[in-house]
Amino acid sequence: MPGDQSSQASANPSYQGATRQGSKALFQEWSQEVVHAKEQGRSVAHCALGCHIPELLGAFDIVSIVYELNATQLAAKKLAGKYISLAEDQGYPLDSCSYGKCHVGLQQSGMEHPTFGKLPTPDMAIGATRCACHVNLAEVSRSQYGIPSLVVDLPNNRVMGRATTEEAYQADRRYVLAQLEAIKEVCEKVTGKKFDPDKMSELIDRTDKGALLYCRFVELNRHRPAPYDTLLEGLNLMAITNSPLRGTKLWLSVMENAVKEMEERVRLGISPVPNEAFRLVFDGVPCYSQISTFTKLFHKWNAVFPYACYVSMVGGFGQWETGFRSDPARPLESLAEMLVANRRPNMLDPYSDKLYHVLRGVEEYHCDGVVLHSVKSCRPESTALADVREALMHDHHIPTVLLESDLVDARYFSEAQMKQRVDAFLESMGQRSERRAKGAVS
Amino acid sequence: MIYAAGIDVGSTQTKGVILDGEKRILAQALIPTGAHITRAAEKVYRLALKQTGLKAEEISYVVGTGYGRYKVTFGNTQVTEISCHARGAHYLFPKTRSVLDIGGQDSKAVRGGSEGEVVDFCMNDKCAAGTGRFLAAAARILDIPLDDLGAVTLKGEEPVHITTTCTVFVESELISFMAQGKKTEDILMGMHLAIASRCLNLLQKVGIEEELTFTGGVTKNIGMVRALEDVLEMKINVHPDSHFAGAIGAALFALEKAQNGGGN
Repeated sequence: MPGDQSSQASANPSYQGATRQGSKALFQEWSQEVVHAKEQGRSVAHCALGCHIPELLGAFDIVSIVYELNATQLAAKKLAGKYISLAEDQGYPLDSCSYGKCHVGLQQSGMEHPTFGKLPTPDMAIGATRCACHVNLAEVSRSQYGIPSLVVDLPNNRVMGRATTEEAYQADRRYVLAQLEAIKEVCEKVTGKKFDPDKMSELIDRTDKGALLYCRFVELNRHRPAPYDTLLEGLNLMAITNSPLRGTKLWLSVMENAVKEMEERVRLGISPVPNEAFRLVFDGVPCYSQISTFTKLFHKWNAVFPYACYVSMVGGFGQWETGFRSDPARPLESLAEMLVANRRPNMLDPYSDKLYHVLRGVEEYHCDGVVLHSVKSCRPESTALADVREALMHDHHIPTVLLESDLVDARYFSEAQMKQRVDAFLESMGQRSERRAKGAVS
Repeated sequence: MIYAAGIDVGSTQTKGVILDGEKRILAQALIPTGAHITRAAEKVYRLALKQTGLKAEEISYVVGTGYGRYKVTFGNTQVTEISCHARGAHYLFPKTRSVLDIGGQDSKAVRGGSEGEVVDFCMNDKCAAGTGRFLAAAARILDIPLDDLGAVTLKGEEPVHITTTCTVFVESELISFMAQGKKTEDILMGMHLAIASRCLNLLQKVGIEEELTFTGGVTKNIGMVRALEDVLEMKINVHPDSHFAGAIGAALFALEKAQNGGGN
């Protein structure tokens, strides 16, 4: 059976399932911390992933609830529909961000999380200018709970190593650092505690070590056959790297075991499919609500995704791939540098940005084709995909398909229609391979 | 002699074709799909076999295609209709490089290679705009038999401008035109041009290369052929067997498999 690893995994593996279990363990630990936060005298922050700063919040013992992580978890458990409906009842339109609607619905429900139980009232909210929704969510938290909200403005249109200068980078760094200082002050007011630089240094140190492990994890998929599918284990890794517990001892051990799992898979030749036939790059935000169904459509054809640009971007540690390191001796500065250097969607030139990363994925991960996924409720992230497809097909002669559904809202996913497109795409890639084998195409 | 069959189970109609080893069409059958997909596939196969006098065991390989391809339980394998229409169009017009298939519930644009292989393809969005279902909705509202739609459309001289692309909302727009006293043929021509415009978008996404062959059930609608030629500003290939292109393509894939030693 495609995707059945039982026969391959019989060679006495020790770490199989470590990534998945680690992700689960982290969220179980986090859910205990968040549910019991108030009784333990801890403050709670609502945060947008666009400005993920658990090391700074951790220095104040603040527990964070990340908007997008809640939404993706609810989607993955097929529980998001109820919360999206609650937000739409309130007037949110059908095509507005389903991450956002999911969280708004959760707030409407009194933060009654179907898996974790009642989540505590937040004491502060942190948004980011990464997208309008990230700003809006912090505002929603502020207006509902009357708490302080801060929106961090991250320079969106600079990409580390490309189209930027040292001078611009330093200016960005100072700009973001000043905003982190402002957050630090609010944290002090909210918690009544003084900033603990030593605690933050410890967290930053472990985050730095974990970031290097992340790079190793991602790089292992250059191997043939790919040891894991980025849309399955890669997304699990992404959930880990973006965990509110980032920088903790538990987090680092989960990262270590995730890498060990993949190294073991390479050593034992374990692959998500029995006979890897097609290697594909994925770009776009994945359909979390149907990710297993979606991936199976490809595995049936022995096709895997060794690389997903989105995981590389949202994984949060892309900058380490190009030599970035944190300095625990300067924790706050290091966090600012990390935020500035992190890869974000380039809103001024999404076409070039996306094309660059897709082509990089094709080349470095030895891929034969590209799958672009447009999402109905995030047009900014999807707009350039049609042009990217055109360039890949016509200028670079790389087989490419553009699919569409949503990131969280399952109403946009039609399995039959998705299957039709996937089958046709892989069928045509198969025909191309056959013709190439016969010498009919170069 | 080797024989092979292709069964195209579409959302509206099910088609069956049987070929001999020389790629000659020996039989073609067509029935409404209805609610029982497997039964429709079996029936169309029986009808095609009957035309040839062959028994099922004499057919070396059967390929199922169309939305119901996995319900062709007696088939040896399945191939998507995108590949089958490309192959079928190439069979009908060997210089085909672009294919437009308008079916009951979806439309597809395919750019093909010199042997009928798929180079690129694009399908309509999940809604039924730009498909046969869109035309069926118009026929029902205007109370015209579906088979007469094309002939009436050709009489249109001042086509209305249809703004909606939604099969559901188009109903109110058509009723509005009827209330304004617009002629039925002008309303229909407007509808056909609206669909043709959406097809143009699809084709442009994959790149239009001559020759362009039109396939699928809507090829029987002469009004649609005219609207497409007007919008595309080019002559398009339409064959009397164009609506069998998917089944022909499936049968060609089946024959290839049989000649490579697959099947019975």
